[in-house]
Amino acid sequence: MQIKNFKLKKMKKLKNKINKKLVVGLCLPLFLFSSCTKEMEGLNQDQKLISSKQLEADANEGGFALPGMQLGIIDALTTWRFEMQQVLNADNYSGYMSLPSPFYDNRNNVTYAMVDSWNGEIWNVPSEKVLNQWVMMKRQGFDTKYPDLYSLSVIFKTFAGHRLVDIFGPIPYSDYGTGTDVSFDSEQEAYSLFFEELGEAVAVLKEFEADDPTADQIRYAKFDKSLYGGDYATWIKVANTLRLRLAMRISDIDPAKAQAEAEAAVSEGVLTGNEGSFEVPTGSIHPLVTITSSWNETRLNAAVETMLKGYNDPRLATYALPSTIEGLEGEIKGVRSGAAFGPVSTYNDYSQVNFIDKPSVKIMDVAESYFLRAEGALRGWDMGGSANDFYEEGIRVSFNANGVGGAEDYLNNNTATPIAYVDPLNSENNADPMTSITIQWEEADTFEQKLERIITQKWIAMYPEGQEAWSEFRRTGYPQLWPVVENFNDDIPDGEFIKRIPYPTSITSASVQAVQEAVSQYLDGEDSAGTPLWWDVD
Amino acid sequence: MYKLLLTIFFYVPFIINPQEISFNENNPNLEVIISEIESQTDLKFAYGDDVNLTSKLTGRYSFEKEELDKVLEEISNRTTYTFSILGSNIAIAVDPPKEKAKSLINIGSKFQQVTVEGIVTDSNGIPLPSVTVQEEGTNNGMLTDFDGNYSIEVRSEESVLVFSYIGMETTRRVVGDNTIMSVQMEEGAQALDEVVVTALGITRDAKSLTYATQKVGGEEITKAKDPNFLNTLAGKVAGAVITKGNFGPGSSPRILMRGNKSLTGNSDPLFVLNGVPMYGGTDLLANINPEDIESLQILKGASAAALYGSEAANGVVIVNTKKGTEGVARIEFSSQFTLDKAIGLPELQTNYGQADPTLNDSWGSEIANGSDEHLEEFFDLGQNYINSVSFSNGNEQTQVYLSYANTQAKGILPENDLTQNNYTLRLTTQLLNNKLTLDGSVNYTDKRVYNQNSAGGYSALPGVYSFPVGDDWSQYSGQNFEVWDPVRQMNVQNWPYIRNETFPNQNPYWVQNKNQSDFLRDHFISSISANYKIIDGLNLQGRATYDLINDKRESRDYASTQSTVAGINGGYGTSESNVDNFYSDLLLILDKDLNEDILLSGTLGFSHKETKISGINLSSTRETSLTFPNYFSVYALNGLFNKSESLQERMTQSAFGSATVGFKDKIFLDVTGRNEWTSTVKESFFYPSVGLAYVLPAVEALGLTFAKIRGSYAEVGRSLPFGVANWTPPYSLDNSGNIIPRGVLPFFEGADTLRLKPELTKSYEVGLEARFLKGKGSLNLTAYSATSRDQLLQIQAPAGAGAQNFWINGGVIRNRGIEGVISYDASLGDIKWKPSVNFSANQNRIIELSDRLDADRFVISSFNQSRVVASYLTRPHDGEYGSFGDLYGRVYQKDENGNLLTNDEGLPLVSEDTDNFIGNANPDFLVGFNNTFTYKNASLSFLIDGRFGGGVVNRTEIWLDYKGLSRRTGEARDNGGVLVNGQLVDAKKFYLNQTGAGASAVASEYFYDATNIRLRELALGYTLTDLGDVDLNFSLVGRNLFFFYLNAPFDPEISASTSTSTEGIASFTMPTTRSFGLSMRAIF
Repeated sequence: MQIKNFKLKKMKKLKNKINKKLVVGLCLPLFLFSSCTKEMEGLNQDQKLISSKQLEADANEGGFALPGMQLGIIDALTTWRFEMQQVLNADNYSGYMSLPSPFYDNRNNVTYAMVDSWNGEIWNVPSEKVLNQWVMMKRQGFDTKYPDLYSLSVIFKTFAGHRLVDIFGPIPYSDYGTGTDVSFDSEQEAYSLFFEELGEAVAVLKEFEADDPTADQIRYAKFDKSLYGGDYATWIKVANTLRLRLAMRISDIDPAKAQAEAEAAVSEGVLTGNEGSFEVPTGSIHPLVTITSSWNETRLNAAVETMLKGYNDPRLATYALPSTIEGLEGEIKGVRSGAAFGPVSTYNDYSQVNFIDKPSVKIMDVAESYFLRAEGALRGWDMGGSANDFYEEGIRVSFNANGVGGAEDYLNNNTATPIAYVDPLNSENNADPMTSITIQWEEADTFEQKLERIITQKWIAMYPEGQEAWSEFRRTGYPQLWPVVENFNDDIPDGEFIKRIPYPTSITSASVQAVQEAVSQYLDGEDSAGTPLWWDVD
Repeated sequence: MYKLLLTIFFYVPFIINPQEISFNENNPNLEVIISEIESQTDLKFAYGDDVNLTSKLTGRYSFEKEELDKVLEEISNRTTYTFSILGSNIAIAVDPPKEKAKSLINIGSKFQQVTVEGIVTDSNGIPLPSVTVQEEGTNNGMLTDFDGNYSIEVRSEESVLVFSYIGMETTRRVVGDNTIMSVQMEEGAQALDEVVVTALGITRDAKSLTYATQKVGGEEITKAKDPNFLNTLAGKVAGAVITKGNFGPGSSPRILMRGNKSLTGNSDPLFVLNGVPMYGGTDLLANINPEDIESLQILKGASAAALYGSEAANGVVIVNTKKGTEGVARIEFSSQFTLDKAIGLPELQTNYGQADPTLNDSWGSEIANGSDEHLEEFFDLGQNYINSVSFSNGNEQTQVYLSYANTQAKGILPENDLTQNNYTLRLTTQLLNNKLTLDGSVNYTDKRVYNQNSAGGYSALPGVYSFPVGDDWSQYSGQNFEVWDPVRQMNVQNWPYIRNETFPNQNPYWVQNKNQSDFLRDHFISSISANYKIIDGLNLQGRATYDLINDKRESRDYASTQSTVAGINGGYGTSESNVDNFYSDLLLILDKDLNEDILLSGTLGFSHKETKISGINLSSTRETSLTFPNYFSVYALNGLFNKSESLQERMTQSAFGSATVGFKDKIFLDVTGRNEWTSTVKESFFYPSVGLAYVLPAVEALGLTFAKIRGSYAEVGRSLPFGVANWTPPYSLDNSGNIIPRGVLPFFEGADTLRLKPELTKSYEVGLEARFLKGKGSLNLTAYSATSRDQLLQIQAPAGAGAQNFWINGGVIRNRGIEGVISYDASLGDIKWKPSVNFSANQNRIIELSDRLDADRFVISSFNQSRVVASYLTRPHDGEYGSFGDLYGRVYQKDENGNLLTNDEGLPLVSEDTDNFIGNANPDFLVGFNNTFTYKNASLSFLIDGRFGGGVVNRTEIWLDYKGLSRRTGEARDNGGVLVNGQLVDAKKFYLNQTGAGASAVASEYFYDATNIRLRELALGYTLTDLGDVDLNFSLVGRNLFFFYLNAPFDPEISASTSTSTEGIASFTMPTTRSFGLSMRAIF
């Protein structure tokens, strides 16, 4: 019986199919064309993709783009893009990681010979995955229809935008998405807008939170891919912490605005150890696992090795894996930035970075919030506490986040200093310690010593988020890093560090005019890796 | 075949017997009657080209033991044919309709008054026996004797004598006052009254066409076969650039006719099988058995395509397949075996080794054991076996054609092979007193391709080419590509150079053995057409074709495959896709001589096309790999593996009409119009064409036998690609279910979204067709100009515009050019030589770019991946726009005198600007020189193919220079460096500088002129005819045999892919091959 039924059904189906064909075939004569064309409507899209119409259900249309934006500030899902966007530049320039083999005869980003095709992704990822999606939300009027969700998109946009400004300098930002000949903003203009945007986003989210504290759970929890569970209160803190970060960035070039923004941010509330870091789970493994272990395209930087070894920092064992170098098995051994490779040029036996069982990509470390306030307090701003307290709390929070103990002993260590670097394969890379800065807070120290201490510890805590670390290194000069051994860029004097990344062709080829204007107006006429950014003043 | 038999039997001595004939046929055609009489007598029929054997004689022809004379008289009375028995031959003459009455009277006439005599010779003066000499309009005639002599009495001095002989041009002479008239006959050129199959399967007299078309006979395609028969068209079609596919057997070529008209659409012409437009491009046509092809008709211009709709904007290739012929039973068997040898391998140095044994860079010290033999060793000798058999038979009601072909090909890469089977059945039948003709066919192809070469960098080639010349290949070659790993307890890849450095450098044998890919295709085409003759000259025709393609792909990458290709336990992917294509049309066809002077033909029709494409794909990611090593199954897919699914439906409906008016066989006017409704464009669109052909009178004075001029104007719309014009595009989902919005959007500026329009190509063409030197020579010239407006472009959006890429109606592109075919029949006695030259020149120009963007240039592709060249459409800087295919890249800096600028080390300075014009990919001029020589039963044919201009950027050369492996770098080191402005600079430094360390090369130094002249095809054949019922032909065949001229250090007929936007860029592209082999053909 069953089988018979099945057959019958199948036949019926077949009949339907044939009938449809027949009917369609028969409606050939002209007078029937109007009805035929009706049948064409809606055909012009893949029926297995999801349409805007289907996204209207459950009001998904308002927030569906947000997960992609979160995961696209740094491309957490596409390993090769993650590598090109961050690992092959900022992660090296910040002293976190190194390239273990001489790509392109060692003439590549790491030795300051710019590889355009790698650097294209630095622009492509955030513009495609964050900025363009924000444009899409704006164009659909979601700023008024879903102001809270829109505000979140603005926070992500600011994350993406400031990272781009800190990499390239001027970018199209204030007019983004309004035309096809968008001029580039100066870094100053972009930063002003960042503060404005964050302020507004926080105001909107606060309003929503006040109106209905559970609104976020209904509207946003399903789209929040971070560990924050969609809580608007936390996102308000994230936005304020970002505002504090950006305020600190301009502390040298515009101290008054920096102070005002920083104090405003702190008074609105910044992240604490309770909320944890802004991280996005990749769903499988951390891209760095693939890059370091299967591709062998990154290793721990000598700076992390020597700094943390010198401080006897227990975080080192969680940051890196022991090397497999003959005679040094079990020891952590990093690779010097822009290393000179000897006769044997494969440094695959050196320490891999360790992200096994850490499937989340970190965008902002929670401890940063404390170190920012420490620096603010050091500068005499009202940060709601003392530099000393925030400094120590930042270290504690970081130890906590890394699941290691012994923070108090660490905090009280006033003797340990970074050690020298010894390269077992090529002594040309050997180097003496760059600094003798210790861990324990010394109230009597100079401003610079205190600043170095704060930034050095912030640097250790933020690992592996090299983009922010590189920006802060350029701003403050801390932690003290060794210059590259090999330098193939004529714009950067030997012993100096890279200041920005020149525009890749993915920006310049289609925006010739706008790039020329930006370069002549804001970059002293040269699109060079040696031109310091607006906020990078000594 | 008949003609062949006829010539043989002319030599049979005559035997005259009183003959008695019996047969009973209803509506027979002339051929049937001829075969009846021939089979019952010893007589053979002779007739000229004016006798149409397939023309039907109406009514019943019934004879019972009737005398031959009576039978012929009876037939003559009822038809326009008259017969006269001359020796052992019966000559057939066709009476002009009006003369009918007269000629009847004249049967056995006694009114001859004038006697004419003479000798008939061929063009070399050799007497021709058995030439039919006939007084025009009568059945008065005779045959020449063995010495070519004739003597005939004619009615008057106004009489015309017609000399006809198989294989010779029929010659007519007015008697006048000549009593002695010797005639020299000319070898027959192609008949003027050639019939061509044009749009929608409608046959037309070639004379009446108002546009250029080129016919390629089936024998041209099967002479020296290629597993993909489209490759055999190279050099034979004027105005078509055919680039062989890059993936070994089974890969499809790119065909470009009259230049790139559309920048983003593909350049594939539309393929039409027996009048029905097919789904898909060149790869699907490859599924057709070339032996089934009766002829190909190539319509290059827009006029020809106007009736096929927007898909025909790139031209049309009409494939007409064979069908059974009434009364002819035939079995044909053909077999071809060819070998392919890789040619144009890179030139390597052998004197310098590695500096670091773990890297393949070969800038180390001098070595003595260097060898480049691994190149030759790696590439196998490719083997192709193509066997086919076909049967055809038919009676007056039903004709059948049946064929089977099998192709087995083994590529030049190890483990790469292809098997293909083609089955074809075609039935034609005439019903209802021949008013209804049904024609049905079923075609099934199954194709299995294993381990097809993958794209450039991921193929085996980087491994082979960049193997350090100082290392011992035998350690890694053959079965040594893997070694036992005691820890993993399995075999792993054996290759010390595994490293992702732009290319995943792997052991090439591993790639071919353990990065496996299967491609399985089943393709059914079933079609039926019905043609009903309403009245004489008015037919109603309906057709339906159902095309079903099922593709399955599987890839298996074994564990220890390089980590950017697959994860730790290997990789697996499986996918399936289906195409369901249904086409139907209904045509009312009128073809009528209104009166003696005016011919009217026309078509009115509707068509409907519905295509459904679906696919599903599952594959592992590199990050998550597989659950267990080398367990290839969907069960093994780990974590967030790739998954995707697609279902796309398209529908197109059209109403169209065409009309041709012919006046006195001299002037023909063509008008067509088509309106198209398609699901990818919101509004319907209309496009018309008009054409005029004029047969010039009195051209004999100019030494011509025939001349025609023609001109046409046509518009062809091109519907938008699927989904492009969707304002609310749907979104896809990433592996973890997050929605990823589409990256490419219709152009917008702020709130202003562009409504995309279909592209429209307006084209003019004028042409001249002429025959000269007594019809021996022919010339067909065309000049055209096609301007495509509203070019649909996918361009890189300017930074900050809010999208990554835009679709835009971006500009106007014009293609202008000329093309022509000149052929000549230069036979000398038994030696017959038929040379033919085809040539074309096309100039592509951007005429205008959209002013919606202020941008100076539109970025089509910046080739970030290849790091060498970019392709832009630029606005003019000095008044001149560029053209499509312009390549931009880095160049050396030079001073005003053209000397290289150098730095303090003496190294040339590279331009800071990455966008300097370095050349164009497209050829300026193409020429093909085809030759056929026959001597008795032997024949020799060859094709010389020349391409002038255009160029290729070859990344392989960059990489080999960078690695110190190219011969250049070896020679530079031998010489102690490279001379730059008279100074020797270190070779390594020079090449690192020039190649930008492999990352940013000076593109202009790697742009190679693609000009070449090659012997494309050669066939040497011999036919055995004295084997009774069998004709047996053996041929030695060769393809791509050698270059007469070559500028680049490789065969420039390579390209990174067959897509439009990567034209002129090669990167670890498969070497081209030289093929040679043997073919055998037997006809029963």
